[in-house]
Amino acid sequence: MTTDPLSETFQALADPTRRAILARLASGEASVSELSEPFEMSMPAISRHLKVLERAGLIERGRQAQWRPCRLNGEGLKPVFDWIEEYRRFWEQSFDRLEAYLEEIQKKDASDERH
Amino acid sequence: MNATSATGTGAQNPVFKTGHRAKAPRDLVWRMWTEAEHLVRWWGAAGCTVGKCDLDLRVDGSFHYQLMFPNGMEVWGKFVFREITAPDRLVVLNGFSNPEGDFAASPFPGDWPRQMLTVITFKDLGDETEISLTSEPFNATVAQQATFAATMPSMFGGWGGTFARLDDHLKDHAN
Repeated sequence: MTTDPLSETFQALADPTRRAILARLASGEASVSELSEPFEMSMPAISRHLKVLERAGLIERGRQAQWRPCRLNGEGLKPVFDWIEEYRRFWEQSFDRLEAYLEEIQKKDASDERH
Repeated sequence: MNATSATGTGAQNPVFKTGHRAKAPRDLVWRMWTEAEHLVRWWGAAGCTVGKCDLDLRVDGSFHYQLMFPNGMEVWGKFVFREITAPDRLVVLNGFSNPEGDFAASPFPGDWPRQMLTVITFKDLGDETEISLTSEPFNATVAQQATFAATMPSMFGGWGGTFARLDDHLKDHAN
């Protein structure tokens, strides 16, 4: 089994049902029975997915014995978001540098024409 | 399945999008992307400089570059050109590489896609140019695809609304 926490996150995210559960939890906490309805899955099947998500640190469960609400754990998702934000930042900063360079060479072209 | 994205890999795949409106005519912007002397002047994140680089602008040719970050870190990367339609469309595979020019794993921790299929379009607006960019994992493993999918705004119904709350949540946990 994997020991690298990031690998465990990726394994958890590899399943479309688990991604859909996370998307549902993004709009607020929910119980196992509330989660099982839209997926047309049995509560034990949903519970198995929830265990994987919980072990990967992507969700947290409430402590009430009967109604253990599930909620997103933002911290568990953070490394994943960090990567795409880094990718976005790379492109946006390149665009900013492109803009500065375009300004520089267009000024230069204009002054070349005057001379 | 009839619905496919512009890159033919299936509309169900989430796609990363960004863009920029450049204050320059399209022909000039195109040259910035396709001529090495210009590309090295702006390519890379803030404070980066391009060291060695090699541009072979043709389909299956590549732009291979060494990028120096302000903190002293040095990485290599490359684009492989898949489509070159002057002056309005470039399709490239982009990713990290080794100094010899082969695609390589990211130097950063985590199991990220090695190659991204990126489409860059340039729309002529007269004195300005609208640059639009989309990227999606290419030849990625299921786990890499999933990681990428999970980072897309579509998963949480947009960056606004609930996603903004998640951002706040992340900030709360940052300290």
